[in-house]
Amino acid sequence: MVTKWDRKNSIAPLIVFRMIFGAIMFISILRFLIKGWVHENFIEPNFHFKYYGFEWIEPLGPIGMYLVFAGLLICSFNILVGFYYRTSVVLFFLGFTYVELIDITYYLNHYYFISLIAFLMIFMPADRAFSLYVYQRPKQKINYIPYGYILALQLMISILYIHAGLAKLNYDWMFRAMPLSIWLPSHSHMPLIGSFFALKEAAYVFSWIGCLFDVFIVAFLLNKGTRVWAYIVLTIFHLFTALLFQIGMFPYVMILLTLIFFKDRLHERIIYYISIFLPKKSTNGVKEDALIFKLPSLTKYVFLLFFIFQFIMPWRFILYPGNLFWTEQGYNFSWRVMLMEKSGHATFHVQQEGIKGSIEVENSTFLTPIQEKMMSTQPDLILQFARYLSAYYKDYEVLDSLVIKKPVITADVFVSLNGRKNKRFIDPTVNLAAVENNLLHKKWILPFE
Amino acid sequence: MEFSNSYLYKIYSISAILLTLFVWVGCRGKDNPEPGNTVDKAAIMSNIGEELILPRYDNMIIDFNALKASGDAFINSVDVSTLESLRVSFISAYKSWQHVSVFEFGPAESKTLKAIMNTFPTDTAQINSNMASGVYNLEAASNLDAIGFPAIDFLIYGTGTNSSEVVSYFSDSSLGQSRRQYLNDLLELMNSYFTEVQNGWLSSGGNYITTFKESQGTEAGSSISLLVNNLNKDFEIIKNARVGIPLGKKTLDVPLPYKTEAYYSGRSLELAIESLRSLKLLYAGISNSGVDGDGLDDYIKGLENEGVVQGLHDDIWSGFESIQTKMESIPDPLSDQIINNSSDVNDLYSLILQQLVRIKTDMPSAMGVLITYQDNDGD
Repeated sequence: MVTKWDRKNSIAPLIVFRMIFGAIMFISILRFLIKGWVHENFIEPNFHFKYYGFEWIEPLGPIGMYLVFAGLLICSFNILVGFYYRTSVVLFFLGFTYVELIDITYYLNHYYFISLIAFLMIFMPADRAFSLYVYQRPKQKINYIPYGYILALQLMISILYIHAGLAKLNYDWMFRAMPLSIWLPSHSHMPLIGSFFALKEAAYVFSWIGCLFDVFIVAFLLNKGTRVWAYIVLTIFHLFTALLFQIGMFPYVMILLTLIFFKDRLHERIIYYISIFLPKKSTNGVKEDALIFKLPSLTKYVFLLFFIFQFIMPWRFILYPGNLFWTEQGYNFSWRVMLMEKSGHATFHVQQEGIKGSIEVENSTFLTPIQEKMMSTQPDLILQFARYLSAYYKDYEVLDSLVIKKPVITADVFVSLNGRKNKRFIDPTVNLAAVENNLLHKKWILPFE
Repeated sequence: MEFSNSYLYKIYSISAILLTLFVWVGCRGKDNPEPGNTVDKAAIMSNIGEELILPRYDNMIIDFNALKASGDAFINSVDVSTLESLRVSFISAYKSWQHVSVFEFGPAESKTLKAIMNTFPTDTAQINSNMASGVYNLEAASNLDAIGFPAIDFLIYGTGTNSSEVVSYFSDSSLGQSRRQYLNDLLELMNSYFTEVQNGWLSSGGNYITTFKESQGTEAGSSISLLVNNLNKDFEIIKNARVGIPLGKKTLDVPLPYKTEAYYSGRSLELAIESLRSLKLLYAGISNSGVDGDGLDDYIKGLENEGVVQGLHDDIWSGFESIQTKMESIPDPLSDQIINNSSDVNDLYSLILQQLVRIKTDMPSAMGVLITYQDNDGD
């Protein structure tokens, strides 16, 4: 019996996907380097906010970091042309994920998405046609693969859209048109459509369209009759977001990777058009009969576990009490994109038991602006910073012979969420230096109400 | 084969329909968006540029020229009466400075004007050693705390317990010459910086005014973003350097009177009030002549009319007012008040802190001002 995922399918969609992925990653990595973000993000800061469980990840220093990025650049090119594909995609996955894990304040959903796609691609025979590998070893060429590989990629993209859509089903997004009501008017100077953005109605229209788009786009992409139209809508939608928001490569990543929803013919044609420009070589592949169209069982189990994880991760927030946007417990890794305008101000106080008075910390002496912005609204980062301060101020000499032996760290934090007035965020009496960092609910977060 | 993904298709269609129903049923709420004022950023940038920034620099130059003239008069003829008129024009120029200090972007940023003009506390040892050697590069980083208004404050107030002692300090037969020279060099340096920065703004010069007015986005580096960020930076100078640090906020509440601004003339609060007024008027878009044009407040009021935020303008405005009232109720010199009347200064400090949260958190957030050029996907 041939199950759905073992069904025979042209390898073309996977090949095109590989080339697109490699090309976009190459451009993204290069862009990151050119913009000087390697230095700004990983070399300049003297403190990094860690991911829970990955506290041991450290940046490598200037030479090391640039080597990692150079390596990523080479790997992405190798993926594009299908050269040492397996090694390259493994290294790409490890390198890219390592870079993301250095500092949580740079977390972006689409970086996480890239890591996941790279992980899936490790298990795929994406270099078995139209690649340097096959060019050198024509006998290795295959024309068909089990459909499961393509299904996995479609499923991953579907998970992203559906969850992004579901995440928008909240009161602020649907009925206060937040945060778009805040973001759109800042584009009111744009030609032609600018004046429309200043209207509250525009934010409602965009919020609802955005939500419906995310929830339904996958269904329309899967349906043959609507696929082309869905793809046109998708392209316009993402180009719009590229125009309005500072979201970098993400729109282009989505526009191009969703081509995986198209049938074989389109992909075969793409390959054909590219091949016109390339040197020809005999393409007698392995005999089709010799292939067993079945996913390797290891791959099958890895994919199964992977997707179980993907279905659970976005819902883990249910385990935490309180408002998700306020506490951000279980917020990341859940495809919550462009969902809130949150900003805060945190003033930390260092005290020593038995000594009157306190030291007010100047956050900017320790943190970069983006780190400070992210820290001020996220309880786990507030805690990390407090613990860092506790270590920094241990045995700190304030004035002559006035020394802090065992710092007590408290913080006045005020946060504004989606245009609401700022509110006190955490209990100002809690000694954060003595709070343990774990995944349990942080009781010192004040309720959002 | 056409619906080769039909089971996926079914699952997603059904879940999508179910979830849409869930919203309609589960969430109940209504908003009646009223067509209201739109935010006119062009008008805001134009008013702030033409009616606030340029006239404030004009005033700065006028007041500084007066300071320069009375400085020259004093150097030419050192006596109590020239000293007194120098002091008067010094305070008035120092106050004028508080109104342009906030524009530390464009021409001022490229000249690091704020650091040149107003790094305090001033380093009297450095000043003394400069004068003693007679050889110095006042633009060197090591001399930042030996120049500008704080250095002059020391020279014309801190070098004697009364006017005649200061006069004799400058007319000293052996050292007077190098002291007068130093004062003169300070004024010359400031003169060249002010002239250059003003010129950078003028349409007849660097024409930054046009750049400023034409930028209408809210991305990092846009004019609105520069204004909001610099307004916050100057406000934080009030909070930290002017009040917090002298009050002991960084030193376990041990007060440090000598860290106050204008410590030697003892006019700290007077200057702090000017700085606060400067920010308040900038926020409101009120010109020197008192005309209330389009300011940041109008951006916020536009958002309030659209129902995006509520009551933010009133909060910010009353925050400015209550700080000013509190400042005006505390008599100078601040260096005494932080020791003898620390509870009042502490109250002032908390008012400042509350206001900082509004203008640093609520305001930029409501306006969608970005602080970084980097990619983001919305917090």
